Amino acid sequence: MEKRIFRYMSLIIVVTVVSLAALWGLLLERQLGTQAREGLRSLRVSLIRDDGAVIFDNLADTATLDNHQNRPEVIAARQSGTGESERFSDTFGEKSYYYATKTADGNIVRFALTVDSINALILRYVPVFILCLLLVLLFSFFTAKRLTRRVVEPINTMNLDRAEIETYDELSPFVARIEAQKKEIFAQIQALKDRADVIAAITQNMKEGLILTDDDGVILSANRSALDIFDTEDAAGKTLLHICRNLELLQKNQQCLAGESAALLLERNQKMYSVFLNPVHTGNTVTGALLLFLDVTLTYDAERHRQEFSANVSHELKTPLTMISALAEMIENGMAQPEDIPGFAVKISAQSKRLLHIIDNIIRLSAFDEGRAFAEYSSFDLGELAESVIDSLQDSADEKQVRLTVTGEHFSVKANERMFDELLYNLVDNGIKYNQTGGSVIVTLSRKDDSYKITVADTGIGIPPEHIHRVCERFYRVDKSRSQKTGGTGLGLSIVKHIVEYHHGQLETESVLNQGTTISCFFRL
Amino acid sequence: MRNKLEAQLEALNDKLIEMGALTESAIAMSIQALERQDAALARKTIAFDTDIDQMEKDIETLCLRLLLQQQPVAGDLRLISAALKMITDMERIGDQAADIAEISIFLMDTPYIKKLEHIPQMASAAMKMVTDSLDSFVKKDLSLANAVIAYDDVVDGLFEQVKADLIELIHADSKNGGQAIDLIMIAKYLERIGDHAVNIAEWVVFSIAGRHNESFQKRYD
Repeated sequence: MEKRIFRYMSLIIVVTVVSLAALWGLLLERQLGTQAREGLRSLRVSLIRDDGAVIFDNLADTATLDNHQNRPEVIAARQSGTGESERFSDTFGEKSYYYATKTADGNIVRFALTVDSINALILRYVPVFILCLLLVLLFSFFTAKRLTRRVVEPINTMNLDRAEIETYDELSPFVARIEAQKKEIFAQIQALKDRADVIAAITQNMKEGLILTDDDGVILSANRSALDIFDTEDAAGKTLLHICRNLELLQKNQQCLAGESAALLLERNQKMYSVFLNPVHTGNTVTGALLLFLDVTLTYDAERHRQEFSANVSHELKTPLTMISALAEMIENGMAQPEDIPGFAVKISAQSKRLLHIIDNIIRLSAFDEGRAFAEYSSFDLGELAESVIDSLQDSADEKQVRLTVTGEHFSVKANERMFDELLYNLVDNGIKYNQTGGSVIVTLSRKDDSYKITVADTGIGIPPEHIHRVCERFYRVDKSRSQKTGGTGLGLSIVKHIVEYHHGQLETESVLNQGTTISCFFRL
Repeated sequence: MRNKLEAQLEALNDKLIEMGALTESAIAMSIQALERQDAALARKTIAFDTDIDQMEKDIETLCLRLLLQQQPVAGDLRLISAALKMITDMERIGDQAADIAEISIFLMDTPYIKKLEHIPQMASAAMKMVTDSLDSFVKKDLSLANAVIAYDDVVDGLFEQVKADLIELIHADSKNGGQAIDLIMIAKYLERIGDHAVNIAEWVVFSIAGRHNESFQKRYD
């Protein structure tokens, strides 16, 4: 770059100096020639007498001329033989040079030459000068422009992305610095991007919904789960109001944006979410809110079921106890007639048995829950077991006029016999209890490859579709008013379910209202 | 100028959704009060209506100011005129929710003759219509708005069902008459709520597409 600038500057100076010198020379030569010629033409010769009177003048009338005695050149010539002087005429802007010499006869010859003054000379050549100046300026302008362009062009077209940058040596420190900074920035961007990717990967794969809003409640980002919760494709840039119109959530969000953490339970699309709202602080000001949505449907349902279970247990235990207590009180107070007492005793005994039965079932279920159920497996004939169960239930079946049958093949299985006895007992017992008079319960045993199936089908009242998925819950009753009539505890199917699960089997319930229910248990051999 | 209009339209949009949220809550509360025979909740629902009425006035003022100051055209004008109509429907829904709550207070002390079955179904159907109509407005979803309009038949069908149920109850015992009349009024209010949801959906269709839904055309032809 240095060289280039030097070259151009030198060029401008040389061109200017040379052109000016040439012009000057030209003008000088021209001026000198003109002056010599004009000088000869306009040379004024005067002959002055000793007393100062002009006796000859080639250009002026001698009569009009005054006495020249006091002219400096005349005085000098008279004294020393020759004399010179110069005078400037402001009026004509001219300068006159005089030369006088004394002749042998005592007269004086004087020569006068008038030339233009330097001002006049300059004035005469002003246009030429201006023209010349303009030319030089023009030349300098274009050269300077070209210089600038040539110097700057490599800088302008410098490609910083290219690995090797070809430019002036003088700029290489800057280029190196820029290069280093570029690498640094790139590394930082990459690091930030990586971090953002990690955060995005975490939030996008979270099962919990996550929403981040700014201080106006406008959503900045929402993860996949949050978008799914609110059935929306894109939430960024919208306010919370656009995706959820739950007043409590909106109000809690306002509270959160005021700087206070909040939490609530939100129901949406038949699911329960526990929502936590936390303000995001920057310094002392709240700059946004962070909303976390946890799906607590299962916990919520479990809690609800637990509450129902507790309520049911109390209810189931209370009913027989109330009866026992009432009967006992009547006997105690002597309100019962002696002949009624045996009847009361039968009732008390029955209710106590029922109580014991319920408690026994609850204890057994708790044992399943705690995983400490009897675990001995033995081989036994399933057909024989089914037949013995049917025998034991024959009496109650006869009472309701329900026909009990076992069909299918006899085969040996390896399982806990006591549990299977209970399983079959509960299923057949339910089949009888919820049957119509004159109906039937058919136990079918079948085997295929490495699995077998126990099916108990009744022709009873059936289970309404909306209840079918809940019948295995403890104490769950389709028709709560029937429990007294049938004497059921509401625990039978729950125990069946546990036994099936204990043997790693599967339970299927099919039912048509008023036509019957079929419960199938699948096991591996 | 344009930016100010946009900001005001945005505010109008948000306010409409907010009012929608209020009406949705009002219906949900009134139904809950009815089902659980919860007098406190019913009173809260009635008090809620004041908020909805206030919201209607606010939005109306905003709409009129927008019309006067900004002289909107095309889509913007449609949104504002639809908003003016929609708030009337939303306000009516709020009124009906309050009416249901009022009747449910009368019904507080006596247990229901028969377990409420079709009325809760109707309530959730009407509720779904209101929610979907508001969703169609928020999401500017034409097909959802049309679905709401079609869903009105479900609510109407359920109304007939409720009517049949109640007639049967009166047949069974004329003493049931009083409660049956109260319940039929609730059902009618729910049916009206469904109709208002249809109106909202129709205004959504109008504000998006600039034309009226076919059923709307037929009704007014």
